[in-house]
Amino acid sequence: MLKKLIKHEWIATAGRFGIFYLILFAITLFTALISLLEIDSIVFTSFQGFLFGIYVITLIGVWFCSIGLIIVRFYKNMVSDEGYLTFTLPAKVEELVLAKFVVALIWQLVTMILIALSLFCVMLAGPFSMGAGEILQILPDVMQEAGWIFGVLALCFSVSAIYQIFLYYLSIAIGQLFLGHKIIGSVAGYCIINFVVQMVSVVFILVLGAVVGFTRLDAFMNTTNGIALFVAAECVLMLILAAAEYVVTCTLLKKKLNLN
Amino acid sequence: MDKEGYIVECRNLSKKFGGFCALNEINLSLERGRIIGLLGPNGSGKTTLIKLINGLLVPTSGQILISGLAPCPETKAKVSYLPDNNYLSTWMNVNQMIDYYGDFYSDFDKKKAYEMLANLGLDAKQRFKAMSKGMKEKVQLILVMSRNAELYCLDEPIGGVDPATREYILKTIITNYAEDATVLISTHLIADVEKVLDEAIFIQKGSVLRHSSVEEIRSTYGQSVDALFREEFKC
Repeated sequence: MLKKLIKHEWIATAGRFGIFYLILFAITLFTALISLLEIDSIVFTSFQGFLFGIYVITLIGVWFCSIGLIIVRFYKNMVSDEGYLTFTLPAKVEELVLAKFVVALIWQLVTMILIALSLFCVMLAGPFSMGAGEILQILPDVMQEAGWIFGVLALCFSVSAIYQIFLYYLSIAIGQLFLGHKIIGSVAGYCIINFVVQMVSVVFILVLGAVVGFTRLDAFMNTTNGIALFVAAECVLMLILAAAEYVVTCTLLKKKLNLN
Repeated sequence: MDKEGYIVECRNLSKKFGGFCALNEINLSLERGRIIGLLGPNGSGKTTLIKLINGLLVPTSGQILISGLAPCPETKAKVSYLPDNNYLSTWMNVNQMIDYYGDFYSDFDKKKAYEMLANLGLDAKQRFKAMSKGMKEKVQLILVMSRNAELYCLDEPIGGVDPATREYILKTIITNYAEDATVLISTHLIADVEKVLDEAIFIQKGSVLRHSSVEEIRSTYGQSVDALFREEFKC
């Protein structure tokens, strides 16, 4: 059943994400091509600058639209009228939520990778075009020496995406409890959960500082091992929180579903 | 009737929303192979009961069993539900929704669905976004009645359509459900539905006032179900 749910989730979301990616591809291509041109004219230089501004806005827009689509998809398909069909499918609530999460996570990661690739292409075509050949030559050595940094960044982005997606879902599950005010309830739920998580993080660091000693903690955090440990601890905490968000979301949708 | 034969059993079933009691200790047993009218005024608890059967609500107390099981994926595979809302995804067309149903419900009959679509003159390639309310309701009914389910729960199936379509819907219901299946029709348009009913359940303010066969009502009271309803629920 989970495979079928994932399949139909793909079908439902592929069209819209495809449009975002086409827009991203078109603006990347156009911006890169214009950046490659060398026309000695104030008007053209101004146009290049303006186009680069549009390009950055488009990148931000694609990112936020991808998040918006994930949120709207869950809201419409689970807690609005479409929920009458979704929740009467012969599937467990856990499977319904998990299917949406799997597809949402893949779209988020694909969006991140495509935005990164787009930036790389535009940078190579534009400001760094003179050294493009050299950059590509030294890239393998850079990756060997410091590739682990990119790995850590990728891991952080992925874990953050997992946590954020379940946070959106939990906020919507809380919001649907408030008849007639589902969206306001969802936004309020999101703010409250974020606030609570921030407070828990602050308390955790204060307790750690009190136990270890703040001076020693500060010195340790400036070492490579300290940073690695901090990143690992953050990732583990976010995964635990994500798991808790998933469980609470499923419980709310099983016991307190409100489709009116 | 042997208890294993009941398709739906409610045992002291209650549902409260805050301080409001939507269903109050209902005891009900629905036999297989019957067309049953769930009749009551607005706010009497009809939709709440149907939602409990379909696992969309959880009882406050008591128990509800579908074919001996509490609502779960296994019971959802046996129950075909037509809600009183439009639940179709606007971006889909009819073909895509038929594929969707066929994928999730092993008892879904695609051939029957396309036949009914053709009878109603509906275009399978049309998106739901472009359809009128009445057309969407017809498509929803076709999807629900194309399943060979053990229980059909139809919540106000004829409420929002014209009289000619009402006739067609009622004809579709009685000609397309499986012989040993139960059809539970919730409505307040009793005069239209009475001719197809085997049994009637009168419900008011969350309590069952009456559950008997239509024949028994006519022979005992010498009047139609509609007339008895109007008398019992007079404002």
